[in-house]
Amino acid sequence: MKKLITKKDLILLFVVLLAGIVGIVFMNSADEGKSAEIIVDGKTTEIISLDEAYEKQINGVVICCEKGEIYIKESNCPDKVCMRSGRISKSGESIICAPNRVAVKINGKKGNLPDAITG
Amino acid sequence: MVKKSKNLLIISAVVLVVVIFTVSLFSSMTNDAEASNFAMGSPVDIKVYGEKDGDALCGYAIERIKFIDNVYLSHTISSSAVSTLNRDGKLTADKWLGDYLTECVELSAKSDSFTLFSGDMKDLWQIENGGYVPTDSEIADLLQKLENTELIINSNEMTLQNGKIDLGALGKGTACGEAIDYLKKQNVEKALVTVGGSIGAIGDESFSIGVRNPFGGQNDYFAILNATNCFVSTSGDYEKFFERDGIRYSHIFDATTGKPVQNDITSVTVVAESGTVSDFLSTAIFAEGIENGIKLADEFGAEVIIVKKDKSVLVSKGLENKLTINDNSFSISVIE
Repeated sequence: MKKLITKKDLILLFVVLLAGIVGIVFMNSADEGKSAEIIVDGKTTEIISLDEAYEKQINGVVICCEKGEIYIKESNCPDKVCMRSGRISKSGESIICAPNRVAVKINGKKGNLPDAITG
Repeated sequence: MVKKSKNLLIISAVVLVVVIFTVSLFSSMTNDAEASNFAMGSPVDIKVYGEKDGDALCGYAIERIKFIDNVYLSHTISSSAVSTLNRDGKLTADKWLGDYLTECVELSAKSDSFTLFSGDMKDLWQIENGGYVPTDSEIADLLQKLENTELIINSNEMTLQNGKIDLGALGKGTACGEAIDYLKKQNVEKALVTVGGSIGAIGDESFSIGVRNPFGGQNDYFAILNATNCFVSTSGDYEKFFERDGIRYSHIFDATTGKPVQNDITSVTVVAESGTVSDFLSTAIFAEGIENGIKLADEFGAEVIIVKKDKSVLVSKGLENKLTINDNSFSISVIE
């Protein structure tokens, strides 16, 4: 009687398993630091690529992306905290305009950034 | 031979399905959830770690914060308790609000420079409206009025005389505390709540909390504080301010002068056991100045990080080993 599972079967099994695991890891790590979410009133309204130039006015805030960096070009808010925040490019970084209830957040694992910032 | 490879295909497929199922089950069990929104004119962020229904918990925590704002503390929503009190001069409070306002009055009594009645000062200086530097006589009138402003609490009947109450200096810390209380009641073991400059943290392991660089943007921090099971609040002069003739006028007032605080401090971070207390202290210490401010922190058993305009930083002894500086242009000294 032949063996139900041969050595070749085991090798194939191993390859399939490996392919599956690599696939899952790849899926989880894809897009890291390459896209940003635009969040209005707590809801994601748009996902933009950091590789492409972008400029759009949303709720009184002009959001710009160039050379992989995002910044706020204009805002009608009184404090201009968003405009003073400069340019962001790292995963986990965000610029928030509280008066206009708009946020831009770069997707991906946050790496060395802290869990939160007080200030 | 054909039959055999078919067998093999089935086995492979089954194994693959099992693996994917296990991995997805594992990742759903250790679900870390996060939700962001706005309340009290500030960004709100909730992180709940390792809970099956983390997304729902984050959502409810945000609702709790919005409830506190809309029903009690908001000075922009006309139906809130604070707005009603400012408009009508009286209000019948529920248990929560009665207890809370009593605590606010007690806290406020600890510092001469701190006031719950900053509403008229903010209006006069038009801090949220481009800024205006009042004349000396306007400031004298304001101080005269402040002297006569009083909140009288008679069990659940509140009477406000001669002024406007503004809980902006401690409300965000309070909201943080309410969200943390809610999550604890739901048996959440690890969570991080941010409302504006106030943070509440629960969990066995320390969180890394960046302390904002007052001279940089929203994402810039000069040090990392490792902390958990506490509240951290920061008050600074770098977000809401206006400048006239080279002088910076911030939104933090000294009730004894009727003017925005002018001293050598640019930010104060406080670590305390309650969100209301940490938020109150960060503002009160800023207004009191370094010497009195440190005494005030001691009175509450709270710990501080005071950043001066010359980039020198004073740190409480209790935080010495919890703080890591990542910007060497700041010089640190420990408060003895």
